[in-house]
Amino acid sequence: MKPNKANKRGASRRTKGATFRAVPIGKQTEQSGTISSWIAGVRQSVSAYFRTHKEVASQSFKRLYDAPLPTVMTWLVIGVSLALPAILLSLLVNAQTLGSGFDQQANIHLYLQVDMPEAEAQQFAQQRCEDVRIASCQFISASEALTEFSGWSGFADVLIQLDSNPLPAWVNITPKHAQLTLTELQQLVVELEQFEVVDQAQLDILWVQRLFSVIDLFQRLVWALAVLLALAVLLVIGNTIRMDVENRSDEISVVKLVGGTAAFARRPFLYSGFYYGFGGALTALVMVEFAVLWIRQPIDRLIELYGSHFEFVAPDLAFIFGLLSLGVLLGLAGAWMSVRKYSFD
Amino acid sequence: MIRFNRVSKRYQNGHDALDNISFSVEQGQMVFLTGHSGAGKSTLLRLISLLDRPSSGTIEINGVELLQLSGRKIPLYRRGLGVVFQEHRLLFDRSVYENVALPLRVASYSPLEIRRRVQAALDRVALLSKESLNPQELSGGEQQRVGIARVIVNTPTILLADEPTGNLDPKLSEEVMGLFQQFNQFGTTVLVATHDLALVEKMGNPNLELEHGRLLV
Ligand SMILES: Nc1ncnc2c1ncn2[C@@H]1O[C@H](COP(=O)(O)OP(=O)(O)OP(=O)(O)O)[C@@H](O)[C@H]1O
Ligand SMILES: [Mg+2]
Repeated sequence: MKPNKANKRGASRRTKGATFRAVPIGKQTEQSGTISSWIAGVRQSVSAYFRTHKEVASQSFKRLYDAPLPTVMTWLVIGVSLALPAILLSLLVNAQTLGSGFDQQANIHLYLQVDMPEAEAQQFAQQRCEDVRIASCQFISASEALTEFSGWSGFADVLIQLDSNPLPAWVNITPKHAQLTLTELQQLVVELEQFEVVDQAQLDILWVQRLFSVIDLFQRLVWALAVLLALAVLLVIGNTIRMDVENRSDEISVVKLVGGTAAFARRPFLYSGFYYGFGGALTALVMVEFAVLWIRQPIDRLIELYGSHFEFVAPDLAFIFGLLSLGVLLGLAGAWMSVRKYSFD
Repeated sequence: MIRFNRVSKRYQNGHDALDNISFSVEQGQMVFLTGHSGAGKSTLLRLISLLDRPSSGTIEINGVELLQLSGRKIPLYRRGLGVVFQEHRLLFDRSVYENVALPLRVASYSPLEIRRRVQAALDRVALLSKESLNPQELSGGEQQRVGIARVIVNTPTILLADEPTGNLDPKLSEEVMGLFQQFNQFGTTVLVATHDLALVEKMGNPNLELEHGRLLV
């Protein structure tokens, strides 16, 4: 340090460098009122707008970069919170592509209304076969059902004494398993049950039916978990930014005093929120990719054991884009929550 | 022009910091504000910079009644003001250059214009060679001068200074006052609050004297 020399240098310059004019700020940018000057003015302020955004964006990034440990910790917390539901969701997505053909083929039993005329029932059964998802449909009339039932139930004596047949006619439907996923099979069952003449539609293999219920339950749990964890991310980001705002209250008051707008003072914090959210979502994506790699093999093997086919799909572009947008959205919302309450005027 | 009309300020604890003050400072004047500690000098400057509102009375700055200034116009109004604080309030997370550039960034000046103005302002306070240092690496007097550069960079129409020479030795104090005087000669209205009566006498500018929140005539 050589302050003396520096002072001398400054002092010598000072004599010639009289660049200051006491002109009110508003007058400096004033231009004549022609349209072209108006357009030039608009263009200038638009480019100034983008310039300030660029500056603030890079400054906010630098601030996070300069404090790598807390930044990475925040990213990891957000990453874990987003990755957990994301992994479970991608498992769900994959469950939906699971083929419906297993070593035991599940048929759908359509029990028709008891009072339905036989001709009508038979016609209904035939019409079902026009559905491209159905391979074959076999009609079993009420009397056939009764014969069959008494044959294997051992209640033949009792049944003969009844004046009317208590059993309904039914249709045994074999779906084209090779072309259907498990979800599509479930959809088919639901659709068939909606016909008025159908009393009940049932898969004849119980565990496949149970699988549907389990997947349904799992789906709800995953969504509930996703909502809770998104809330946690919002709070983590909000709290981080809030502390940041408090630490930088000096800066905020100076910005205020030199004529910065509230928007200007808030902007760096919104950018921080953006980076926390985006970085957190990126971290989550990496975690999801690793998790998928890790669980892919055992799942493939498990499905094979049941004789089904299955193509494990890795997260696609829509998934990646969705997760990143969610992160950014949570980041901005969290930051906004924290700067909103603070007085910037 | 600064015009106070029967202005009083009572703080929330019931203390009357200013009591029925009326005065006016014409455009282009340089005026001192003196008085013992606690007389209300800082309070008066805070009212002008809209960091606080008067309890009663009106303040008119360059023809604008401050009470009628809507929230959205306050930042623009403040850009026409320059305030040097009692404590310099520099930001230690950025260079001297960036500290001085802040008022220009806030007002979206072009990078070229920012460079030109910041260098000219730093030159004025003889700190051009230290533009890339952190203010923490400067002496108290140098920090005070950075604060002054930050004010003049924006060519304000009104310059307010609260004890600008509090941390400076007599020679530097005179230099700083000389800067204000120079600046005043270009038409800027200057209002300086200070304890330093010797300096005030030497400068020969008009003097508003406060005592317990009242103006002595
Ligand atoms: N925020 C506040 N709340 C309550 N009282 C305050 C507040 N700020 C200042 N005061 C009181 O108002 C009076 C005037 O304060 P002010 O800061 O204006 O004095 P000053 O003339 O600047 O003094 P100094 O020369 O010591 O800086 C003081 O008695 C002080 O205690
Ligand atoms: Mg004071």
